Amino acid sequence: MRAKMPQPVLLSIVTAAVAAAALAQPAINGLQPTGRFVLEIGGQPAEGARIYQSSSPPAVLVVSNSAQMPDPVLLQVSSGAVQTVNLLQMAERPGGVIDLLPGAGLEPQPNFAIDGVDAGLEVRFAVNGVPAVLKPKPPLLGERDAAELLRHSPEYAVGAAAYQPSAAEMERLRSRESPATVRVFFGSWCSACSQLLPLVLKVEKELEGAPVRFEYYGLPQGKAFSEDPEAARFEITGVPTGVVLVNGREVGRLKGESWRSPERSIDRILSGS
Amino acid sequence: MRPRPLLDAASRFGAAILGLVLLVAAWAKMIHPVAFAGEIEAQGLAVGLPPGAWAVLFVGFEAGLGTLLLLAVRRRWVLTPATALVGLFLFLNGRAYWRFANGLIGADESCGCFGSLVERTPAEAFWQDLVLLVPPLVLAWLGARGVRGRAVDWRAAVAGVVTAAALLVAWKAPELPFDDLATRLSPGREIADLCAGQGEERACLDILVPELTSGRHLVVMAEVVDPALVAAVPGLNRLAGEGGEILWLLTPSSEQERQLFFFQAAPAFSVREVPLPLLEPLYRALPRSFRVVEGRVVETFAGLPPAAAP
Repeated sequence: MRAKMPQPVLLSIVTAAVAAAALAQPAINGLQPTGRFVLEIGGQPAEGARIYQSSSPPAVLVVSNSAQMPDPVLLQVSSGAVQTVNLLQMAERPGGVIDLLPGAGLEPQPNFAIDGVDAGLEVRFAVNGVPAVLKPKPPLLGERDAAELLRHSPEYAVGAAAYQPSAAEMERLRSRESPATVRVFFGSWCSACSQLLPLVLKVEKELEGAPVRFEYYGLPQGKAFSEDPEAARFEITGVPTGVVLVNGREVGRLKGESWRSPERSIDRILSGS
Repeated sequence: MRPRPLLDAASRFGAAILGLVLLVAAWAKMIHPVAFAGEIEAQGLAVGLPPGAWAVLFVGFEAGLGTLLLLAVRRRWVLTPATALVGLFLFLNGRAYWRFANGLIGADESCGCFGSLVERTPAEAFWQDLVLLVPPLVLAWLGARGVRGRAVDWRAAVAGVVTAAALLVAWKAPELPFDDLATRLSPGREIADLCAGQGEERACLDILVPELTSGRHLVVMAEVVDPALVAAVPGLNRLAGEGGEILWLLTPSSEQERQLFFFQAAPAFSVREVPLPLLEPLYRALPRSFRVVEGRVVETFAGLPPAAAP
């Protein structure tokens, strides 16, 4: 007579098989840093956590400095699988993009769950019994500098690293005698800003020490946008908008097509002012 | 009455020009009646009937009137409604111009009388209509003697046939393959030329998706909440995995909707938001797809790419 296998044992075997499959995962390349989420571990904000997202395959990598979650955690979206990964099997490219090398998986964890769809997406998971949640990051508002922008939205660094400003215009801007200010109104929630702000961040970085200064002002989404006093003062109707100022007087704007090459547009505006 | 050959020729010419403009405008509306219905609703003109019904009736009326004028029928029963129609266009565009001048609407909002094919600011729309419509109308009135005898009968019959055809086409247009004709997206177009807005507000697709300017891409335009798209994700993921061309989803959906789509549908391709004003002139109905090679549109598909079918 054959002994009947008890259900918990069967479940363990299945779990182990799934885990083995997960651990044998192929490499995941191109996990881009993203500022769309904040991480909470055990109900507390995990300051300094870094979140990465890739589309092929769809996955999210969470790297926290927390003692409660010392290993990076990979969420594989197509299967819902969660696993810790070996920090030593992660390779970082310029701009902060991460590649996970083959066999980076360490320990399988229970699948993630999606919650709070109406009130704001929350992705709940647990690592070794410690609950964690990814929540939408609040927008960056008010007066900011480039460093704050890059801390809030690290994906901007990837676009900035890839952008090559035009040398001739950059040289003209560097050799300007009178100072000018480019006041950039942006929304950290705005998809177009994710594409275009990195260009101006790169221009600012390469113009360090030049008389052209950059300021950034974050605006909220929705009705609050038009109610913002700075948006009203500068009559901002959409983001990103760069207001070019000389001696406090507006001489032109970066809008629409002029974002294609911010340094050219700024140079053109300043040359005509 | 003394014959007035010069005046009559000028009047015929004016009527023909006015008729031609009305026929072109009717054609532009006929192939995308849904957009025109939206315009009728936005202008507050849908009284007593649904906007879609008004759109079809209006197209038939405009096409019939345009045909009669093109065939030089200049009787009062033609010129009076033509004058009313021109007056309506000028009123709508004049109102939009006034609103634009007073900062109440943006530069990219005109009456949409030429569908998605022509992009005009409210100011351009008003002045162009004034120049294109009023002088020919005045000329048509100056020589208005009518066409006597049986000539009216066959011309009226032709106008009747054109009206019926316009009504039928406008009614059935959403199901007919007019996407390339009715939108700014068709094979041969450059990605850098797919733009919206005017002046400094003008934005083009290549600014938001610069990757499309080189290499081979298959682009799907859809709302991420569309169940048809969600059902097609496995097929699209398969296509994305095949390589050869990069698969994109361009969507007007919000950040929250896109994140939910990412975690629930698990797309293995890039999803990028494109603002509705830029995306809307590129389709009659979502989803719509197109293939891009080195920055140029080479193929379009109504709906999802056929290869993504389950």
